Amino acid sequence: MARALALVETGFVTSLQCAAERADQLSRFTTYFGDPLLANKQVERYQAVTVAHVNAFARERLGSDNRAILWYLPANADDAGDGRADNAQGDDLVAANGALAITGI
Amino acid sequence: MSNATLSDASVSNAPARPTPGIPRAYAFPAFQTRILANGLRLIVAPIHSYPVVTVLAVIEAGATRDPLGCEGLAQLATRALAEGTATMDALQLAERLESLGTTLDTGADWDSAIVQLTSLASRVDDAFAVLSEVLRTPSFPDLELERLRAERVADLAQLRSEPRGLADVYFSRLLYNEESRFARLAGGDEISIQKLDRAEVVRFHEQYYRPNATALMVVGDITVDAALKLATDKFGDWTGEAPPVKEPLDRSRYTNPRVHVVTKSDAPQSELRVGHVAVPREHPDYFPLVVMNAILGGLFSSRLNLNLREVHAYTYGAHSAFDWRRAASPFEVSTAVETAVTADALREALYEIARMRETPITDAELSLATSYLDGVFPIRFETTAAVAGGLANVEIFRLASNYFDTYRERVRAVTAEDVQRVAREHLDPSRLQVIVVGDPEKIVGPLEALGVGEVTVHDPAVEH
Repeated sequence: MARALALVETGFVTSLQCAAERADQLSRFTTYFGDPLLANKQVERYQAVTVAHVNAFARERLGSDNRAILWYLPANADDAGDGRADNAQGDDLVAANGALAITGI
Repeated sequence: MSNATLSDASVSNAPARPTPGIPRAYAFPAFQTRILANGLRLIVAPIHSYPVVTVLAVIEAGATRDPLGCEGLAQLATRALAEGTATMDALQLAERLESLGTTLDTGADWDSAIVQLTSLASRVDDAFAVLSEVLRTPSFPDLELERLRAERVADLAQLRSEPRGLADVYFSRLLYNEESRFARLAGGDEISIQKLDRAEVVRFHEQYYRPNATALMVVGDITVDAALKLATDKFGDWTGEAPPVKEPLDRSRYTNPRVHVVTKSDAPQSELRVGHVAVPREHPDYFPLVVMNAILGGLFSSRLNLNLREVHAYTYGAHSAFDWRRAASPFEVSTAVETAVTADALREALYEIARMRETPITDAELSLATSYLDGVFPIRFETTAAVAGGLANVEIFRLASNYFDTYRERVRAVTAEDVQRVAREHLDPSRLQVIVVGDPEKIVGPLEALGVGEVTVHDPAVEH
């Protein structure tokens, strides 16, 4: 958690050095929250995030019911017997989660 | 409630809209240079706008230092720096960097190796300590070296499978004399990479990663005194001396124009490179050459792009560039066109190079190019990392310490006569090498008919 926060914080502050990025942030906070000055409080808001917040978010949002999985396979996987065997587990996963699988791309 | 009322209400709640100010004068950040007793150069540019510091080390350990037959050693050593030190394995190092909220960027080009990180000013002491460990006591674990070599082999396979990569490989190979380091890949090939065992990497590091061959840029929210103290603490007791740099042979391979077709059967388009060995980065004609290149193929509205893209619709884009090095650097025109118009596109590219030499540019062209270069200059140096990169170039190319202070006036001083003179002196149609990656069955005939020079066909499947 401390490592993630340190990286996010450095990334945000460093990016503000560019005029284009400052403009983007002002535009973002105006568009989504109606207050461009929130950009100045963003670092504090990151720092206020706790481990419990992160765990709760992961439990609530990163569930198996809203997941899409794409499998990238070699073009000849359908022709080869072993290719199918390797993919069997993937098919099961896809079926279990009801997600769309695009194969053979 | 009408829409008008809603929108009026939202406007009245918002702060008054600011009006644009008058453009301010721009000065490249002031910097000071200190040299430690062991020869390490320290360049500090205090910039206090944001609580951020970039520390960037330039080491005279670029690919031109690779021993013959060990091509790729400099790049492998640089990449392996981040794989562990005397006190940390790769994972511990990665976690330490993450705790500092930073990432370590490493890389080596022809002239030098660069290792850099950017952290919040509050963590710069620790960031300095990690950088020092990485530069001075890397452990180069066998397992990680093996993985990096395997990655390079995979990268090469990818490079050779796609037309753009192939064109670049063949362009350097055929431009420079066979004996030149520049004729071989900076990152090494499948044969050289196998020779790069741990002993070679350790020897390379011991020989070249030395304080007298290292310059440290410290840019951002820090004072010169604080940076000097950190550098002295972390690098002051670093010892040893790297040998002086020996610039590689930079002669051309051919003295007459030639067309080299690189086989990519059934390719729907041709990847085109046209160029020759030009001048070193540090050259009295540098500024006129930069302006000339902007007009020829550097800008979107350049002659090459207008001709090949806008007028003839042969391509989405055509560019030209100098790939600057301390030794004689390549000049290169590059584009990709539909197979059927390969020879036509080459004809137009050659026409534009010749026109650059033969007819003076217009005032409008000159003014567009110089105002562009002049205008983007401050935007190029918005961040501490960009300023550190700029200062690194001063070190690498041994430019004058007032280089950035005079950059804009030197750009603005370039005249139409200068541009034509440098085009005549430094673009030489009688030496141009043409590399075309495409389908030989469809393009060799039209290319021969163009009469540019002898056409030879290369098969990348048999010549590595």
